[in-house]
Amino acid sequence: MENTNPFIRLTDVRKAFGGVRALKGVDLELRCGEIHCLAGENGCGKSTLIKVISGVYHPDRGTIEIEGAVVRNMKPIDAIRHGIQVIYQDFAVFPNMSVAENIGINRLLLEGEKLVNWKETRKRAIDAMAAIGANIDPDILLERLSVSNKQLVAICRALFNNARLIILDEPTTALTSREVDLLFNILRNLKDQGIAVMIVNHKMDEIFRIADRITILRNGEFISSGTRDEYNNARFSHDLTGRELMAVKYSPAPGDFPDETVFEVEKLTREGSFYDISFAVRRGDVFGITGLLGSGRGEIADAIFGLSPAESGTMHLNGELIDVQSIDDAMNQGIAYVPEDRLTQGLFLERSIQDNIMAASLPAYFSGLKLQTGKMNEDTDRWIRDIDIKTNSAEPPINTLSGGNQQKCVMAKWLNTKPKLLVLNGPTVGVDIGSKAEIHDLVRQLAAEGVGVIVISDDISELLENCNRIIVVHDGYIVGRVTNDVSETELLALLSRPGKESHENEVTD
Amino acid sequence: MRSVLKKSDSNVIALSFLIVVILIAMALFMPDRFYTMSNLRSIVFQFPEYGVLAFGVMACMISGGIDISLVGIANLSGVIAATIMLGMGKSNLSIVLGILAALATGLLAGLFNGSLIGFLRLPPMLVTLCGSQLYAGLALIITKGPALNDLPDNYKFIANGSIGQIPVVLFVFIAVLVFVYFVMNRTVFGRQVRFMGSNYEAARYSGINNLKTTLRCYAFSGLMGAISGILMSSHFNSAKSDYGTQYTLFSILIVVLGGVHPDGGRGRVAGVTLSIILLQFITQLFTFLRIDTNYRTSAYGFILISVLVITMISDKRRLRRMT
Repeated sequence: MENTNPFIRLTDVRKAFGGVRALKGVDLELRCGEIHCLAGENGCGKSTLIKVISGVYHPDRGTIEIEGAVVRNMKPIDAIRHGIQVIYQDFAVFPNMSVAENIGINRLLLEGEKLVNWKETRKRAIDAMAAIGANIDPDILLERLSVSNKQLVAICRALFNNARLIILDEPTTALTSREVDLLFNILRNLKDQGIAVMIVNHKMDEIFRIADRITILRNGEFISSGTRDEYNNARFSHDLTGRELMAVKYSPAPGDFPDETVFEVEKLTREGSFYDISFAVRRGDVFGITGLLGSGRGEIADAIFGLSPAESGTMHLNGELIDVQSIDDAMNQGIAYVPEDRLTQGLFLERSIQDNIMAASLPAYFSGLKLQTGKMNEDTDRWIRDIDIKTNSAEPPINTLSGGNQQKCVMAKWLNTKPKLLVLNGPTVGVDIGSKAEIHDLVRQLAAEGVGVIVISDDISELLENCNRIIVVHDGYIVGRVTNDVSETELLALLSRPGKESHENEVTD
Repeated sequence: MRSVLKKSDSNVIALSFLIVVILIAMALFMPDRFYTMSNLRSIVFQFPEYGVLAFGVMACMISGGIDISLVGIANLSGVIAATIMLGMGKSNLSIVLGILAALATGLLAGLFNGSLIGFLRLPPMLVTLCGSQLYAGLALIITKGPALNDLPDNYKFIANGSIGQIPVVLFVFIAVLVFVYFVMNRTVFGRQVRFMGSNYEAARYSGINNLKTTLRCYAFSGLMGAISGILMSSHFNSAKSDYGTQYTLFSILIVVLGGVHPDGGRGRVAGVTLSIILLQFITQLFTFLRIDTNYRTSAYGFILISVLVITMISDKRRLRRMT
């Protein structure tokens, strides 16, 4: 515990991509034998910083010192040789190989071995697991493990590679609370062995439980750094968001829409994904759906949009029974879907801003045997103006825009279809704070105009701020229905309620 | 002028530049051979049959796939047209029916490719490679080997006749060009092909029916194959299962040289059209320089690989500029 030598120190690190400045002068010091929490909202530059530390990106300015010596032009392999190990959210493991092979493989590559002594590797893998108290069959195929165990395998692999610094990118996102406890015990164990641990996280309660020191970034800028004791809830959330108070919570203006239901699902079920899902979105509602990763929250959206239709159950839109078996059906009914993964599902990266905004409504512009390009230009410019997409023209490829503006384009694409129901899955993932607020305003405004709005998110504060009613799913079952006057802690507690049993006695308030 | 320059991409400019260079070089070194009416006419008689093929490959490549079965489709269409015409005693009605049957053959073959690619998500490269054997094989079964010769005079007129000094086939090519331009740039389908080729998943999530788009795309390509088959059989006054085999490589070369990105999504009709003309000039140059046909094949292969390498390098550069 006495060990407070800095393992790595970054000073005034800057990194820009095109015109976007991702890191605007960040200082960070990680000491041996400490658990350091890097906190910041989505889009604050956390992932860029990780890539700088692991040698994937070279900073434009600033210095990196490892154990007192300045390191220049660090490549990923150099970072690994220095003992820097990053565990990404997908763990970068090989699903079709055994646990022991997964743990052993990098070391073999690193040492340039040509012949593999599997017996030896397997034994060493078992030792590595024993060292952190993980108890996993070394011969089982990795794809058969739970998320939590895959993570442990990734940690073992890092240790096996003589890690001096282990960085975990949002390690708790997909874990239940018991698994989080287990992970935290293992991390404390690593710390006692003198290893520097950095976790990237933005969940306040978890950070206060585990961190020795905290560094907060906002919008690519270094905001503050200090020991856990130097922070309280108020300072932490102020540093994180830059706002004194949380913004006003959304509630529909009373009397605008007296209890009219826009969208209602009853007993929606798809075997293996979700069961017995019933809820009603009233006019004026921003309706939230939350749950852990793999809880079925995204699958419900996929069913509403016809990507993978429900097997049983009914949906009503504006009082009419609708049958959605395909995306075409959903679109014909006026359902729009902003998907979770913007880069692969939402955007045509190298196509123009205009193309991206027009992609879902092309047939509407086909008349007189050709596309009415004049009208398309007009409407594109209108959207750029109306929702304030920051660009000089509609012609540059969309990958020149920031994440927030890209997301606004995805929304414009769907708003241009004049939807009756808009489903947003993770609408502000990887979006900077400014655009985040604008997207939230837009969502509220749409609801106020009478469009049915469903927001699916794992960002608890986002949901409580912007949704007036929220359902919680776990293991495919609805386990709770709340309004936005519950606290974050109450809502978090619901997330890990066991699915099926809890479904029978849902929490409502 | 400025807006024209701004609109046209670097590829179109580069192609135009190369064409001008060749034209000037010809004017300087062999004006008496290149700038003769007979030479210009011979150029026009040659390029439409593979130029049309290139448009088919273009559409598929923009959609994110490729079509290497087009020569097979062309020959099968040509053979079917010839069989009908010869079987019906070379009447004018038989010509019309033969052409219609050829077009239908192309559409059906394209739909067959498209359904394997669209429904089963088989790799386009494999599907159309097998397709090329399948269609050539069908043509072989029909002809039993030898060429079907001696087609009706009015049919031969399509690819060999002239109105005044201007070959009829030039009008056919221009009509196809206008049609292709319109389909690719002025219809919903044309845009959807680009979206699909640019990001298949995002296209799906934008409500674009990828299956329908794929089917239409390969049917469109098959139609181009059929038109090419009609032009070839008319040109040679003969239909056979293995005419124009070098056109497969040639059409891919044209399309890539014309700025269509091998990964899909990007590419323009203007670029491909210029590329068709440029390639014809290069062929002509080879002929003037008396370069052996055996060397030509490897020369074309070499050009294709060079263009691919250049595309890759410029992609990387662009990516680096952006990050």
